[in-house]
Amino acid sequence: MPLTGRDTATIDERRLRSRVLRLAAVVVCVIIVGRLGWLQLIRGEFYRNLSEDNYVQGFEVRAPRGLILDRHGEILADNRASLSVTLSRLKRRDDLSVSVLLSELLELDQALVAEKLEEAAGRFYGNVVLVPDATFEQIAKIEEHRSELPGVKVEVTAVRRYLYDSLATHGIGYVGEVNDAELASMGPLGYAARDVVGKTGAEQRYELVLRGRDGAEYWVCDAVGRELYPFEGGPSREVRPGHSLVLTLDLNAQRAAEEALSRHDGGSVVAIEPSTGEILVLASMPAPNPNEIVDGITTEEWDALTGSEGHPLLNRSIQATYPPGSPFKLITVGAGLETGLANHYEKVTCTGAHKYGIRTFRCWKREGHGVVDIMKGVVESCDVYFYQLGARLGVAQLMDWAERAGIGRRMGIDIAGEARGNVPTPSWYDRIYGARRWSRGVVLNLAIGQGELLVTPLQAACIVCGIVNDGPVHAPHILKRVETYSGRVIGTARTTTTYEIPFSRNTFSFIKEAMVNVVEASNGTGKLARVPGIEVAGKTGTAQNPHGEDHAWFVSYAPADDPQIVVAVLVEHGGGGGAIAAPIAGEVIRAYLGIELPEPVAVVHEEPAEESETGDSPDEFGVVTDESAEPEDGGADE
Amino acid sequence: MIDRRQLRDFDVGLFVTMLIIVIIGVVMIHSATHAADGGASSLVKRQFLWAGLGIIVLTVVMFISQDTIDALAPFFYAVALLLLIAVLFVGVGKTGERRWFDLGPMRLQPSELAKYATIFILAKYLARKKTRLDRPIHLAIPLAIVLVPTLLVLREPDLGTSIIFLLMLPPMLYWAGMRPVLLLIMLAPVVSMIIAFNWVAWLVFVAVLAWLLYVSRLFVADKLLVFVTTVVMGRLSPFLWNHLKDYQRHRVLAFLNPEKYRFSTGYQLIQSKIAIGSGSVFGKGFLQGTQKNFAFLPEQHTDFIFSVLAEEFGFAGCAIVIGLYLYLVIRMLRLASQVRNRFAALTIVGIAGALFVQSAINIGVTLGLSPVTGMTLPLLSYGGSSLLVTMTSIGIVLGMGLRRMEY
Repeated sequence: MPLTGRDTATIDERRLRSRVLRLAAVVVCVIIVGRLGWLQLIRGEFYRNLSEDNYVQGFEVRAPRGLILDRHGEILADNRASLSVTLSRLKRRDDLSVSVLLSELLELDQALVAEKLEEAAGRFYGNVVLVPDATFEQIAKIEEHRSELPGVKVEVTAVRRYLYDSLATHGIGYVGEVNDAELASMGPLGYAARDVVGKTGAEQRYELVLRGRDGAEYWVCDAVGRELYPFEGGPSREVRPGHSLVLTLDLNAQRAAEEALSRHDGGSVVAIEPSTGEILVLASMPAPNPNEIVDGITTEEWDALTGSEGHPLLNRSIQATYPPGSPFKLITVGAGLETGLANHYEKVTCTGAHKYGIRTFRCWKREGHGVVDIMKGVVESCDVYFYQLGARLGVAQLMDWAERAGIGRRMGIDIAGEARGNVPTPSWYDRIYGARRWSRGVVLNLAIGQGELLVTPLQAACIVCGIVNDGPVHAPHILKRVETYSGRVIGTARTTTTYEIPFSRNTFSFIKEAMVNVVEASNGTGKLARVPGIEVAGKTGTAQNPHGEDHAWFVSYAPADDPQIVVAVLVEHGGGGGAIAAPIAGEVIRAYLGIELPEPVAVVHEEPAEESETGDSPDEFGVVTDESAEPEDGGADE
Repeated sequence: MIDRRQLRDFDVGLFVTMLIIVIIGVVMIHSATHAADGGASSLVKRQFLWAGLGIIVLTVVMFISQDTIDALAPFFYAVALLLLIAVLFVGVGKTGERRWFDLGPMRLQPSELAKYATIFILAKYLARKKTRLDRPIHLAIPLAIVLVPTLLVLREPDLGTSIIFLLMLPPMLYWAGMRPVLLLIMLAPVVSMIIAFNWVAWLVFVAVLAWLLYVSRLFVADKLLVFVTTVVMGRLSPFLWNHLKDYQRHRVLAFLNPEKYRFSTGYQLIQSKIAIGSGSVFGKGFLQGTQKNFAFLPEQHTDFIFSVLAEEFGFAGCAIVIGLYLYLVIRMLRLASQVRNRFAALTIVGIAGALFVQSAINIGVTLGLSPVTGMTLPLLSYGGSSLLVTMTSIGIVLGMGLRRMEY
């Protein structure tokens, strides 16, 4: 028995209702199919790419930076493996739990972790580094919680390592993260933020050689970031390691130079092979430890480095300029011989002082040198001899020869930042002090290498190279050759001549003979540079320094009969060149030529102040007054 | 009980369509689970067994007279409500909800049963000769019948299923003879709730509604009732919103802005859209779905099985499956117009409505047309008890089809 019974609606009414409901269902289905059509037919390509993005992940394979070696193949800079914690792009992640766990395990700020996760999420290619150079403790913790940390990876990357810390760092240079300015200029070469680039030295100059080419790998990955198998269709690229640089530096000589320099406040040693221009030693002290800079340095530490008294970041060898002091007498005497204003017969009497107008210029040796000829003038560095020679030459002529010798021009070293030095020509004085408002007496100071004449240690070494070569000065360079990672030579540095010193052969042989006497003769000022078994040639010098203790100079070459190395030594605030700088040159020459000292030497103690400028003796530059650095007006007169 | 003449009225089209959908479901479940387990997974076998059991139960149910169901409707409803209350205390769920009874080998979801119990009792009430549906106030009892289980399901909480309870009602009311205008007026409070989050828009909406009511020919009392209900629901809406669970709010927010929630709730949506979109015209091929294989697609064999289908068989496959569902529903609605018994017709409309609404919402979720609800796709998704209950409901429809000539 029916409880509710027949439908009161007519069959037509029911049919209508059925149709209306069916129509409603059709409408809903049309909407759904419309949406399907939009997603699959119209946007299908877009979503197909997205799905590929999803399961294909690109990995950057960083090219290891090329090695840097010394001239004998000793490794100076290589790469060490560094484990870093990275985040790969991952779409499925419970943001909060991962970031909380990560920040707990690694003791990091959670906001920072969250930010890095967000950054990683937006990437199709490459990973975001969360902890560079992680400790083994951190790595162990990550591995322990692997399953809870999808997309978190431990990656091995190569980090620059300088094997001898600060050794030769001003030549080798160091690397760092690319900055905005560099990015602007190097962007077209394929650099991107966070890339590592050479900042100074050979690292900077040969950046593109060292860099290599990063590779790319594409992998099929699942939703939790596991790499399943290589993806064939991707634009993979083989990684090519950077080329190695074989430098011209000699590790032993470099080390000897830096050890010797480290006994003083600061200074520079430049050693060059005169026949090629190859730089054997490029030392500047104090020097920073580049490993500390590469491993990350705080702003305060950086400020301390850049602002400190010693200016460790300053490459003194090529960037700092000093008055050349007595080594310049080699050029003065050369100019005298070339112009005929000096000759081998004329003798001058040195009484310890020289009168010029109303001023008295003193010789460094107060009691005087007595009768001085040209050879004795150079060998004993008699200032009075050069005062009268300078007066004959005049400022214009002397400075002209200074320029011809190479002062005031760049030597062309393959490291950025080389200074030119300064040649104070008459027009220079006119410009600085006004026409005719300076005294002609400046030439007396200039003749002995003081005053506004400025050179870099590199220039000093190059000029000696010119003397050794009887004229030609080859461009100094730190790169010897380039090799591939496997050792195949793909390029060798060529010797190019930058300029020639236009002295005659006779002039050169006189200068060289004088330089030998400076070291080897009994009356020479550079005896402390002697090396057993070979003849060393050199010239001492003391550069006046208005700011404090004088700078000590010594330029030299050896062996005298077959010069293989030219050494220029500058010791800041060192005092006398013969006492302080000459022994350093001797050590460098010994280290380079591999000459052992026969026995522990007591050289330093024999014949102390008598013949050389020891620290407490008044030095060879000879102006009477304290403010002697200002030659334009007479100081205290007599 | 059933003679041979009646057997000719067996709706073969309806039955076969259902079977095809179930078979497609088993195939898709194989695709969705093979990668994880390697080889055919046990889930496929289980779904297959449940389908077999479903056919048996469907056949048995066909022999139950509609009058029996009619008579037992209040009993079913009472039992269903009791189960819904009980599940709030002893139920289990994936993340702390109380949705299922854990019966060892299977899980029973009382809301599934309550859905049909509510359809029966609604059909029974609407089929009564003295039931009137010509004024808004007449909605009170049907609405109350639906709201009780709706609120209980909402307590579990299971927002998706509770929405189905509400959406089953309009087609049944329409079939029972309620004027479409009144049904549209029912929408006013719903629109009010949604629009309430923007003050200006809501005030404009209320003003327009007031004007429409003013010019309408309803009784003054009805006008007031509709207006007051709309205003109250609108003001209540932000309050209810704040009382939603966090994850429920996130689902809605993620639906509105998937990218912002791409690591949490929005993730599923984005990945589902990628899966579907990348399927293009003919799909990536059976078992070739990358979204599915590499586990980017969540809930592959249950809530997002449609996305697997879309990725592997493309627009063509999807259109066929949607066509099958549409055919299933149209077939039922045609039957509803043919049965003479008013209770039976209303029951069929209710079952067709519930099936269609749930399917449309599930597919809508995968397409990003609806917030994530956590509902399965009837007949296609993995889930034994759900499959069994759905097939049983179709058995009831088929049985009523056999008795279409009975009053």
